[in-house]
Amino acid sequence: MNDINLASNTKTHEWRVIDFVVAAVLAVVLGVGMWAYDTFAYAPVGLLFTAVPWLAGLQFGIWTLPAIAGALIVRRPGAALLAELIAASVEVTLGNTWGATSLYSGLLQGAAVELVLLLAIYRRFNLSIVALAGAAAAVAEVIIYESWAYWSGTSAEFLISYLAACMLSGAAIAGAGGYFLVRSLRATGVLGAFAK
Amino acid sequence: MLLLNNAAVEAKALSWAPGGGTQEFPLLRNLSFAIASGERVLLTGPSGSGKSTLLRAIAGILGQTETGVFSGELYVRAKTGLLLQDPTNSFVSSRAGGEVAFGPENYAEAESLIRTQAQWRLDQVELPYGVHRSVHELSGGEAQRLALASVLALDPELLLLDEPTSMLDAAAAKNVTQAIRDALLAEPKRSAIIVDHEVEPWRVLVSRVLVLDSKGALVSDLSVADFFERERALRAPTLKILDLGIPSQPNSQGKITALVGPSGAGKTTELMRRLAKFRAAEVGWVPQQPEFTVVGNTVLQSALATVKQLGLENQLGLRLLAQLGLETKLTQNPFQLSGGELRRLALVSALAHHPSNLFLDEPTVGQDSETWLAVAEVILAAKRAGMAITIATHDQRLVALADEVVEIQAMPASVATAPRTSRIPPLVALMISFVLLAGSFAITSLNTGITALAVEVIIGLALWRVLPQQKAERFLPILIALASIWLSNGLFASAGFGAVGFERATVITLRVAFFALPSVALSGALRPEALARELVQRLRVPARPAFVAGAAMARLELIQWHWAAVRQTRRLRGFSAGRGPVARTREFAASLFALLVQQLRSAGDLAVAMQARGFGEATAKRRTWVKF
Repeated sequence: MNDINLASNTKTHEWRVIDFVVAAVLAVVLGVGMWAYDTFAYAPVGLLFTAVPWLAGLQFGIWTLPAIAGALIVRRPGAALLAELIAASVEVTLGNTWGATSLYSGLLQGAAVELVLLLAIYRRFNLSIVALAGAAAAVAEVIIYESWAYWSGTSAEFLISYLAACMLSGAAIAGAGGYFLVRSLRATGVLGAFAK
Repeated sequence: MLLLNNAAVEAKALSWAPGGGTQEFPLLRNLSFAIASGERVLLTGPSGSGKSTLLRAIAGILGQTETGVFSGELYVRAKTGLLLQDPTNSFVSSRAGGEVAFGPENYAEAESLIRTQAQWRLDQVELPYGVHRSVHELSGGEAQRLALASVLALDPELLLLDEPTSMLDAAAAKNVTQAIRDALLAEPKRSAIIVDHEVEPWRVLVSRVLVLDSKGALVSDLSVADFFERERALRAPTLKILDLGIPSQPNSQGKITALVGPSGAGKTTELMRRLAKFRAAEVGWVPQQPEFTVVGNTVLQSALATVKQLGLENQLGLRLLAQLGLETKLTQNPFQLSGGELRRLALVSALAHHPSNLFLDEPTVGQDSETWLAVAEVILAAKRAGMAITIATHDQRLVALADEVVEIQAMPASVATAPRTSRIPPLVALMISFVLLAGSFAITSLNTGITALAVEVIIGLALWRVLPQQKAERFLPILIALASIWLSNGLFASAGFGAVGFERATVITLRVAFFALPSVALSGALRPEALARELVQRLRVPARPAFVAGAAMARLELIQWHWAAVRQTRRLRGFSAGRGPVARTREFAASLFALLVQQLRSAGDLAVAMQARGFGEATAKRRTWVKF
């Protein structure tokens, strides 16, 4: 006899099919948005910061949004990393400035968000935790990657200012932005399969 | 309790209510029935009566893809296969072969077996194009037959069919019905539950008809003969002339134009073309995907959004909601409506600001006989008010109401383009990018930088034929970025904040160019599905997340099309982008949000289709992955 289990399972750490699919579809759409930013906005916005280049870091949070939003919806270990890697792949596939190295950034940012959520044992998903996660993604990106890949010749003052701008943006755009994005998505009713 | 020995499905007082609480109305109410193994039944009932919900419950995926509360008992003693209304939302692969293989792969069947089976299943549903055919190049009817082939690949003992032909024109529907009939008659032990508003096409195939009412309760369970006997006794309802108080258009005689032609012939494209010249105030638009028109979080908000945007004030919207049977759902979430209800809501949204032109794409899909009449009556009332109405439809009864019928010829079959594959395996391309990134460390002076970049360019030109074909404009963003890096590093030094200088800036720029240029050149080799498969097969990356990533990215083409539709629909609902960069950015963000909502909704369908084909099974964690 093959009885159907009628209970909905929302508490286990086992990923459901809907978890995979929603994380991936969310990431693809946000990845398209990121690609559009890379292609149409990055250069003109960059001109605004010519005088004070480290302020360019204020854009950082845009690229960590998929990790935060994915984690907030799915709430399972790995969701942030999966969403961030898929969004980065979309940028690469559609063709952005940095090509395949975007995947490296995606890996670092996704992993940093996972680390912060792990410290909260994947139980608390409030505004301050995700803001912290967004800032942590900035630390990983700037220190582990950009400091030597793009800014190796610069002074410590510059790097610190740039890092601060990225952290602020990670907390505000990715963290708070992701938090309110997911809240608006819930209100539309399309996230019916997920716990509030 | 009595358990029938040969029952494939048995339900005892089964109820289901969506959401977390009990305050909401149940979608399924106290259902008790049994379906014997080998029996084929039709399940029908009004739009929104819970037919699809019941099928999903039997397929064992209801609690998995949406939250809700069950009570009662449900026993399913058969391997199920579920076919959905719109196959385009449930495709997981870009190739026909990959689509058919998906189910068997999840049960970790052997690769050789899957290959033979894929070809055989395509033959079974008479798709002659072979396993490499792109799923995007199939017509509506062909896509549905492919979806049927991929369900049959699981050898289901109980076939669950959810309005399998409602999106198709008569000829395509006949082919799909024939393919379903063949599949069922070939296996006499195979049971089936078919959901449809039309009983007639399935008459020879089914033995029983179950009818749900609008409250989700089972109201009749009759043999086919008895069902038709009773139907004959009921007098067919006729169209009434309604006065909905739609303001008359000055100097205009109403007219209904029907665009007809086979599925996939370009009726929708023609509608979109005709729409392009109108402003929101002049036109109402019901797209084939009614979810595109949803604005706000309640039925009422969505219905009146255009009226509000245009600064109008009227009661027409409320009268239309009542006429179309939505007056009890005003505070509900639009995305919790059934397919037929959502389509009626889109009709209200298109009409409430009484435009002079109305464009409707398949407005009667998913309607039962009662709501069909309500929709037709609204269309006729709009005509009497002087609107010019253009309808793309395959519904013959609707065509009969038209003053003019325009036949859209099928476009010549597109020449199948050879898949543009790169000779560089994706994983190798990825590794080259990372090696160059690490190697760029060595560039510390102008000399090393120029030499390294020169060597790289020479190697790149020598290997030009092996490299993936890449359009020149792909290099534009990186060239702009390099200029910006050079400029900002240089200027920054002159500003005295750090010591870089233009020579140093040049070295940095050369170094970034050294790893970024080839990275862009190689990005064409990173075909998502191929990369995902290589990551799993060579680097032991977990199979399921990698597969889903590839499947979601295979939908990029579809998403680009949806993006255009979302922008168009928002414009026609009165949300126009202003001129300044801030207004444009705001409208861009709002459109992206609308696209996200719409994609997440179709993600629900995709998850249902994937779960129904075994993606949630334990075997799927070590699933086979065949290259097509």
